[in-house]
Amino acid sequence: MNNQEVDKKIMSIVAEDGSTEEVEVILAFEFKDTNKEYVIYTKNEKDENDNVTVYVSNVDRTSGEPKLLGVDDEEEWNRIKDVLRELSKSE
Amino acid sequence: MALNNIDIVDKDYEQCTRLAMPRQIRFKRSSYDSIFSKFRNKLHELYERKMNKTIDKVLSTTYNDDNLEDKLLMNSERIIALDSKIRKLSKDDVPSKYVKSRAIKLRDYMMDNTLKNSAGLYLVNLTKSDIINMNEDLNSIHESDLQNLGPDNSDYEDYNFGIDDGDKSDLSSNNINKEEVGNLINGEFDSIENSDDELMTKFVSPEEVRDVVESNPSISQTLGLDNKSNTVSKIDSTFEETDDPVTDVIIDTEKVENRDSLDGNSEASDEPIFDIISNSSNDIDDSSENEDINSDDIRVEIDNALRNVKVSSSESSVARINKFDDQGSIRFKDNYTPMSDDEIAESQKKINSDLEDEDKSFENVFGSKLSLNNLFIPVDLSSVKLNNGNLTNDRDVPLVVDSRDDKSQQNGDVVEYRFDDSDVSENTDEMGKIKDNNDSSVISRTDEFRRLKAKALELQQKKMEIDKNMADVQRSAVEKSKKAQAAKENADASTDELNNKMEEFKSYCKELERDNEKKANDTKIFQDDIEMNTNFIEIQNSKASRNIEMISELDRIMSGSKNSRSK
Repeated sequence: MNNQEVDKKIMSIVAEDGSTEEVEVILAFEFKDTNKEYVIYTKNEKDENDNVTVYVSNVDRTSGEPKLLGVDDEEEWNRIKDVLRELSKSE
Repeated sequence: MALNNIDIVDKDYEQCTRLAMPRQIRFKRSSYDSIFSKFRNKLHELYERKMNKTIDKVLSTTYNDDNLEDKLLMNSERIIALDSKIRKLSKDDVPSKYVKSRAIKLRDYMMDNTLKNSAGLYLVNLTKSDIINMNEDLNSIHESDLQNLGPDNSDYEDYNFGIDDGDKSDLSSNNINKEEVGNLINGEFDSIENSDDELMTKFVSPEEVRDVVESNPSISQTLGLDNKSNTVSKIDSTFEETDDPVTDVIIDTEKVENRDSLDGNSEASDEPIFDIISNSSNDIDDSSENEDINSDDIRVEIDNALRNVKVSSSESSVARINKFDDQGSIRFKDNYTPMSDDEIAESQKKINSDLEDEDKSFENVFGSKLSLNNLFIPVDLSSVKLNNGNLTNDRDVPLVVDSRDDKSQQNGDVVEYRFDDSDVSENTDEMGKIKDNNDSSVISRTDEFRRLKAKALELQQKKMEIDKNMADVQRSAVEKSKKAQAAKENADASTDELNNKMEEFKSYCKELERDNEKKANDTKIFQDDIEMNTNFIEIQNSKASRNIEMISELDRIMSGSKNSRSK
């Protein structure tokens, strides 16, 4: 499947001050043991070396509407980085 | 491996609220592309798996039945056939024989309805056997009609499809029963298992009933059988209600019997079947059973009754129609007997002849005393004579008139009037009649005036009391409102005071806070000073101790050199 043929998944984020920005979802997954859902998204920001910055948030759906939280636990963050590392390896 | 512990998800992310800052990672382009493509591939696999699952589920449950296709095909054919029949029946160009048989079936329908629903409402002494006999006669007619309806008899099979499939009943024309044809007529192709009760409740319009009855004289004969009063009550809810519902309706059997027969030799008549003759059972008489009473007779009767109706000339009063007595004549009040037609004609003739004479004026004919002013002449109380309360020709009867126009009455004085009939004209008969009428009316009016005056006084008294009460109530209401106003003002004042106090307190608190802050700052400054001084002291102490050490060293050195010199 060609990446260019896939539709982009756009997410609208409402910030604390009420402003809205649209970002592109790259990846969404949840850990089987904790059932915690994470979303990785990008604003298509590139630096001078063409490196892409991605953002990772924890998704909370307990109140119905999805809410984006931070990743406070370091162990949790390490697990997420492992997943991304695995995925980033070219096959 | 880390990827084994995760499940790729594909949920809704259209609108999310951010409550905390995310973590950030920077990737090289190649790594970023790899993550993205792997995610999409996994999503794709997920979708495919779901779709396959759904397809398998559908395939496994629905199509295990080998005969399903045949069943579906058969049902669709039946539906198409039913649909075409419905369309045919709903068109206007239905064959006339079809219509006739339809009318007959409607009649059967109606008779069954009658039996089932009447339960004593009907006065017709119909029995089931009557209807069955009629039915049997008519069935023999409609069967032959039905045979000629279509090119073949396959049409009938279609009408009797039930809900359960594959169960076509054996339909030859001889087996067609009332239910099936009822279905046919109404254009509704109900299941053959429908009960009679369901069929009975179908609506039959009055026009259809009329057609049926017109076309069959045996029905009308049956309706007239053993029924002396010839009454048929309002049938049931299938008839439309008219504006004038009539509880008892008399049928002129002669007219009904002369209606056209079912043989089809003549067309249906447009005249109504029922002639409403009377709405009162008292008026029904065997001897007049076959008499026709037309509307003219009724009109004459009403005119006679209305002629003697008294109507008030006052705009505010309502015309009153006196009641009839038992003999049917009008009952008048106060033993009043109206003048007969001859008397009226005679007096009119006299008046007209007098008026035609130009020399005579109205006053000469009727007398000058016929104006109110002349009829009632105020006299002194001393001249009033009572003759044991009986009326005399002098008319010395005190009359109390509470007239608004009379100024003496405005002060509540009572003036007595005497009727002066000394200038009566020569026409004593007519004047005598008029006089008699005036006497009785004057007396009744006197009583009425007295009654009204007493009532007026009573009402005035009540009004005064009410006014007084109203004044008291108003006064107390004003007082209460004043008190309420004062209380409100007090409350407002106290609220204002409280608000002011609160403001003062707030400013006091702010002041205290500022002081505390200042003191805290000062304390900090002092503490810093103390620390600084302490450091300085330490430094100075250390300097001093070093100096002391140096001094002692120097002293030692100097004392050593002195000792050596002295030796």
